[in-house]
Amino acid sequence: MSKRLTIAKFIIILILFILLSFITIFSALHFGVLKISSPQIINVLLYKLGLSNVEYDDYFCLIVWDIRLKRIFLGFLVGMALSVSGCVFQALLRNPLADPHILGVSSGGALGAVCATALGIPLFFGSIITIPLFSFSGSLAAIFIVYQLSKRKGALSIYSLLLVGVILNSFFISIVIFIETIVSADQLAGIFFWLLGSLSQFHDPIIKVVCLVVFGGTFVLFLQARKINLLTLGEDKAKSLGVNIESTKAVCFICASIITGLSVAVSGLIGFVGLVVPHIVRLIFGPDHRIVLPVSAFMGGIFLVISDTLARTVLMPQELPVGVVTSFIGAPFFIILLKKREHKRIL
Amino acid sequence: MSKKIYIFLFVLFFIFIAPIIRADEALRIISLAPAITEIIFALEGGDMLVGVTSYCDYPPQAQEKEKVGGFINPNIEKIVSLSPDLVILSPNSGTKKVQEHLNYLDIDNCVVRFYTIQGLFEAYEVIGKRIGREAQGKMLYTELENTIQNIKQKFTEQMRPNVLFVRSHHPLYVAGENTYEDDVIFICGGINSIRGSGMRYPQYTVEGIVSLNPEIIVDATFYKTPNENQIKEIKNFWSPLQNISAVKNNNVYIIKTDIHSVPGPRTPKFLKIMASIIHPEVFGKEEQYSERIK
Repeated sequence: MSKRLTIAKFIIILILFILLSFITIFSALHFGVLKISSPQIINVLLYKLGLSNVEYDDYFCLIVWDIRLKRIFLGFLVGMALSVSGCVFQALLRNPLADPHILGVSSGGALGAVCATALGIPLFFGSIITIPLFSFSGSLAAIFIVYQLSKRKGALSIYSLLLVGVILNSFFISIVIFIETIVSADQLAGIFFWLLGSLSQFHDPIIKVVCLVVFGGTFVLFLQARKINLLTLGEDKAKSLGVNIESTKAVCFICASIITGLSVAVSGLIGFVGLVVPHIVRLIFGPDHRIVLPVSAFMGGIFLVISDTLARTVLMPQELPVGVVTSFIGAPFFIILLKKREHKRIL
Repeated sequence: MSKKIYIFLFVLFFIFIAPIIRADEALRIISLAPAITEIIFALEGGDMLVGVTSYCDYPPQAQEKEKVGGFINPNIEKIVSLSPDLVILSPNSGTKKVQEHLNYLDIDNCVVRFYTIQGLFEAYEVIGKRIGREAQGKMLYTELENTIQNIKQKFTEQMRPNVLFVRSHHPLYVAGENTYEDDVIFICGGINSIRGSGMRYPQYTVEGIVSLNPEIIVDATFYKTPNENQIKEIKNFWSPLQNISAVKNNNVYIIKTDIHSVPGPRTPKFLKIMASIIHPEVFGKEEQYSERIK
């Protein structure tokens, strides 16, 4: 790719990836235990979107719309959130090993969920909303603690952000494991769901909230893309080039953490997406975050949809934990790409 | 001099007599599974139990016993400190390690496999024999055998409905082949919807369950008796899936007791509940221990 980013090129790439996302989602709709043909799927989609009046079979509506599409869409949003925040964390911390879970946001979320389960709060309010709510509160608390602890003389120190984040991460995980060992067996099942990561909980209100926050957060981060580019050169250089680095760092950290926290709240700890997708995008499109950020968003969504489709179809009608699939197909793909591009500058 | 010899003989006498006195005492047993604890109590051997796992809560007397930890990772030191004559284990991922330790310390132990009905019969015999309660063991054996015979006589082979036994919702685990639930379904005149999955408790997709289309769904998501909210949650889970014939015909039963989670002396009762769920026309409607979704 050439170094300069023109508006025309940007729009072409963006349209290409939006198309690719729709194609992936549409293809993923075909996979499942029951064979449903493309015309049938299109009919159901048209009917549900109010574009066609032909009343369609309830059975296909249930499978295509309520079971498959909602799960696929949630997967897309979660993949998007994880890879965007992974991308931002890698740039912000100037560390290629950073991923959305590194700064303790996700383990804070896991702790919130585990606390709710252990205290039996879902017993009184129902687990569908309670657990994501507690998890998200846990994430917010973790963000606040990490942010306050990494501040030095009013400025956010990247160095202490990384250290505090990593250490709090292990701290939260140790509490999670502690609670896990003391609670009774029937509460364990709920906790298990968190630590493996799964997209099998898809409910309308949850999907709506996730959709709103993830698109909003991604957009805010995209507006920071140019400043993130300068930030990767080093804080001093960025400052001398006129970037208000404090506000940029704060916005990036908080936005990326919030979308991570929310995706963890609805799907548990899904690994690898946030680590590897931004690197793949950088290998293909170079280091400019104005293009890396939006492409990472779509690529992350596509990647998680493909992984989840495999997770629910490989052992049909049984299901695999999606985290297994993301690493299993992500790692070899990344290494092949890395080998092919070895002569080029990475990161 | 002679005084010393007398003292020596006196001490020697006690050294020899001690093991004999010891043998007269009751056995000291540690149970490493709730089902084993329950069986030992049913065999009238509750007094012999000196240690149980922290999950053993039935019968209520079991809660008063010393706890030795979980059943996968019990505390070996605690076990040793209770100086047991016999430790009874269940087969799980931690069994081998615990057994190695016990063998090394010369503590008598045995593994009882009770995860199927056949295993339960064997467990009654083995435990009965090991703790010297063979007669009681035989009684439990006969009670279970009679219950099974009574149920089997009352329905014909042609009318076996497809039954799905749900173990948890998130993730969606269902009971497969070679499980206790599989045996119970078959004995009570149903047939398990899950065939040939290779795993005992496979995780299914919602779509997978829709495609199985079971005629009866038994939902035992919670180990303990679920409360109102949990029941509401289970109802919300199933009610949109109107294409499953069990949901359409209101044959989704939410189990409202904890006896399904432990195979053992309460199995005959569980069999009766399941028989009423699967064949209400023969065994009468079951309303005390289960609730339909509509």
